[in-house]
Amino acid sequence: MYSALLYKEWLKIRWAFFSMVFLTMLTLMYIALNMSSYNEFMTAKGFWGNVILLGFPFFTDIKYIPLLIGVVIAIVQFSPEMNLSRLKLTLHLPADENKLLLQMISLGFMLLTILFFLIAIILWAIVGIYFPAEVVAFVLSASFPWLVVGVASYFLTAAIILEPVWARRLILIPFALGFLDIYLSIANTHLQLITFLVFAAIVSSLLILFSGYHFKRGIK
Amino acid sequence: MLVKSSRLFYLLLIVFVTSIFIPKYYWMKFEKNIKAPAVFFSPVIDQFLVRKQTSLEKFCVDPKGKEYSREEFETLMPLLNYRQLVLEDKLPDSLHGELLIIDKIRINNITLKIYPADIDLSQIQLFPMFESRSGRVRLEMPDDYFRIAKRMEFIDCASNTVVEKKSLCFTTYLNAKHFSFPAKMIAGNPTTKKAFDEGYFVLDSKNNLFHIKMIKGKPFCVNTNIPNNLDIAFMRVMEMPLKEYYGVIITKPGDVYLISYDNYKLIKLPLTEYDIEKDIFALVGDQFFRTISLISSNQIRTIATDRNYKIVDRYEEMWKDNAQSSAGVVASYIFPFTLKLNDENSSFSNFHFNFAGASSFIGMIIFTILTYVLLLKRKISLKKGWFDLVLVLITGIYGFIAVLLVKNVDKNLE
Amino acid sequence: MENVVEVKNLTHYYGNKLVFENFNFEIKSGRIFGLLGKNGTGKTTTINILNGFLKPTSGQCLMFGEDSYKLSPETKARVGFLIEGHIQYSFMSIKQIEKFYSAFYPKWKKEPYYELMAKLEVTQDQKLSKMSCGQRSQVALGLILAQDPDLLILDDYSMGLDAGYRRLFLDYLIEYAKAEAKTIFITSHIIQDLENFLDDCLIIDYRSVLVAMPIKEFQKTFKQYKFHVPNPEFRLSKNNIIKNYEILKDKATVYTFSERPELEAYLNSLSINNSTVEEVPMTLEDAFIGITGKY
Repeated sequence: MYSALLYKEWLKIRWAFFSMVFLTMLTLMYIALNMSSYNEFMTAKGFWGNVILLGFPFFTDIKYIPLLIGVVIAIVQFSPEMNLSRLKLTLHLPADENKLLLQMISLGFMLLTILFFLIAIILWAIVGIYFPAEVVAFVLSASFPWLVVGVASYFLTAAIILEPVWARRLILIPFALGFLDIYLSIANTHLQLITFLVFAAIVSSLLILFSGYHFKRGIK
Repeated sequence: MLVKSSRLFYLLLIVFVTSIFIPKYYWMKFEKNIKAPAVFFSPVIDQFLVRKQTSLEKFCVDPKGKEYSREEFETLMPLLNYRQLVLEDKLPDSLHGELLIIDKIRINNITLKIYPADIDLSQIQLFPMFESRSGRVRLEMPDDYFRIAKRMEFIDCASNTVVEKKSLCFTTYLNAKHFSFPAKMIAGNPTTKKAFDEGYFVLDSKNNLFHIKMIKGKPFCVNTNIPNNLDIAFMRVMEMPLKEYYGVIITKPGDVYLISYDNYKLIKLPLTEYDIEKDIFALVGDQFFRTISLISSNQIRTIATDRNYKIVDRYEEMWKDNAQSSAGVVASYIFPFTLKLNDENSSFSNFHFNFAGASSFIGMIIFTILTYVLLLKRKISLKKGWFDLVLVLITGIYGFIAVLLVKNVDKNLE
Repeated sequence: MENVVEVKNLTHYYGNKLVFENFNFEIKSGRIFGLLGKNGTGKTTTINILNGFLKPTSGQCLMFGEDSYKLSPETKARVGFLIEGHIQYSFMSIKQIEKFYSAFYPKWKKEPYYELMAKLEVTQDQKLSKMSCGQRSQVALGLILAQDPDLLILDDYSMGLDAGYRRLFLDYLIEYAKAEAKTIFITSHIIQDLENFLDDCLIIDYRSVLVAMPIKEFQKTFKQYKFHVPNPEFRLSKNNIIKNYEILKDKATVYTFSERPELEAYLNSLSINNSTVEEVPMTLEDAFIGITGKY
């Protein structure tokens, strides 16, 4: 049953997902191109000085990409469910409704995790061409919250779309924006904060159940 | 159960977000730019001069309240303002029995300011090792950067590979000097915009402080023999033409030491109660005196010392900061705490909680009562609504906003 | 005969707007039950409550003995549900959607589904979104049949269908229901199709139940009479005898459950000449309009 549900979700998001993978790869290629150009025109020494001593953020093009991916995947996955109340079909399936909802978002969660992991590996590889481990570690730790925010944006967008009542949606949206802004505004994170934010992003998957509850209760 | 925990998470999300953003927007509206006064010590009248934001006529005051104009201030602080006085041909010939020579004035005028965020700083642990005696007028950036981990390694920028020979040379030399790898702290000024290079002060893994630089391509490394029980929080290398001291050490308990050129002998500054997480440390020196200030958001404590760091005078002043303003008092009733992830006193993002103290209990109780009324209106029994009440009791306005916006789950429908 | 569906004292409000009050009915196993009413009388609301997509303001709704709001997966598997407008996952193809649902239902039989699909002029890889409304209704029906449920809930199966597809839909349904002794709960606003199909009917109007009885009994006892009235200003009123009436110029039409003598006695008391009273035969649709009114 779970694999059938994943199959249905996959059918909805596959093209969007491939497009997002493509967009990600383009962005990473752009960063790599930029790096090679900086290396040429600033000279390696100048590039290092700018990055190590002045904190030149040469990798910020990736900053909003995971956020965008999370939002897009949630939209293509859940707006067909809300269109004509198609979610009724899913909730009528012979299984626990909350479990069904969690299983639905588990697919996006898995795909996003894989994609973001891939982004981290590629960043590691392309930064590692020009820079030693200290800089690679700096780049990865600086971009880590930007990757985690993609998971949070996916869960929150899903919850916003599945919320059947516009008034409740309008309440949820500003808090979701504030929550996501936190991930994008932090820098030089201590381990305890980033652990908390990873935990909070994962737990935000629960929000979809509250929206699903409103849907099921039929509050219009 | 799941739906209930979903609502619970929603409530906590709102509390988390509001406790950051509501105080932020509140203070964007009400925060005043309250600047600390600048405190000077006049070598002419041997008195403090305090400059606040006032007009040119009332440029500064002395501790007795006497006001001075800018011109008067400049003549009272001739060393600080020597260029202006030279221009106006008003620089005195001598002071305290010493002849005033412009080069000597300039070389003796020193300033040092250390902010809490400088101490709590995130830095990539790679540094350029300058050639200290290149024979050139200007310093040049080297082609490699070093790290001190299991050994001292130089990494070539162009090829991003370790320069084996140089690394081996330095590592062997450091080993010979009983440097214990890896380094715990490396302090230096990785810039070519300095008069000369003193290299780096490096704390080894056994808390011994070494002075490491490169002279004519060869390693230079000296154990400073500075006691290894200082609990160093921060070091800054000064590289001043005065060559009185190499730099400054700040320890976690808030002691400040200068590392003198006299065989790395430590000079302890006569400071008390320096909170390195909140106070700004400022040192201004001239030919005769040192003025050392600790500045917090509502207080400045300044000592003036002679050149041997013996206190000659003290000055203290307090003022109302934003927290003590009427907006601050109102905030302390409304906000039981505020949360900042980015704090001006740190370059790290972290949980920076600020608890309002006893006055916030009133607000918390009022909001708890309001929540109780709300639950009555929603026909939620205490048995089902206790969590909402506890949440508001702890988080005050934030919890109340959350409970107000997010209705309770109907028990029958879970 | 056990009750598959039991609705007890169901009352529902949308905000302050009353949809229905103290609604009671039951559906017995093996019967074909029609919920008939004009648009906006709460048919879909009832179905939503029945399927657990709406919490009623008060009252109870049981399906196979379970509270409809908290149906167990096992019970949901016994209920086939056609959403108003034949909504299905339109991003799936004929093959994909069958494969998808088959994983959820242990009694899944794909044969009736593919049999029905074979009648459509489409390939198996065709997406539902690229099909006509009629074709989609067959897909939705085929899926319900393949699910092999004990109770079929069909919300306005006729929506958007032309006569051919409506007939196809019902023919299939009848054949299936009779062969397998299934219980069917159906709503529609096109009454004529259901004439020879329903066992029981529940006719509702805004806020009230008008008729709840076997369809045969309804057709037998609900009568239409026409007669002349003395002058065009003549007025009738609704009561126990006259369920509904129309007056056009000097001709009056009344609808009643009463026997002819009872009606005649009543009309006599209004000094109407009984000699002009004549019974007019009705189709189910006539009867439906008769009881609910044209407006």
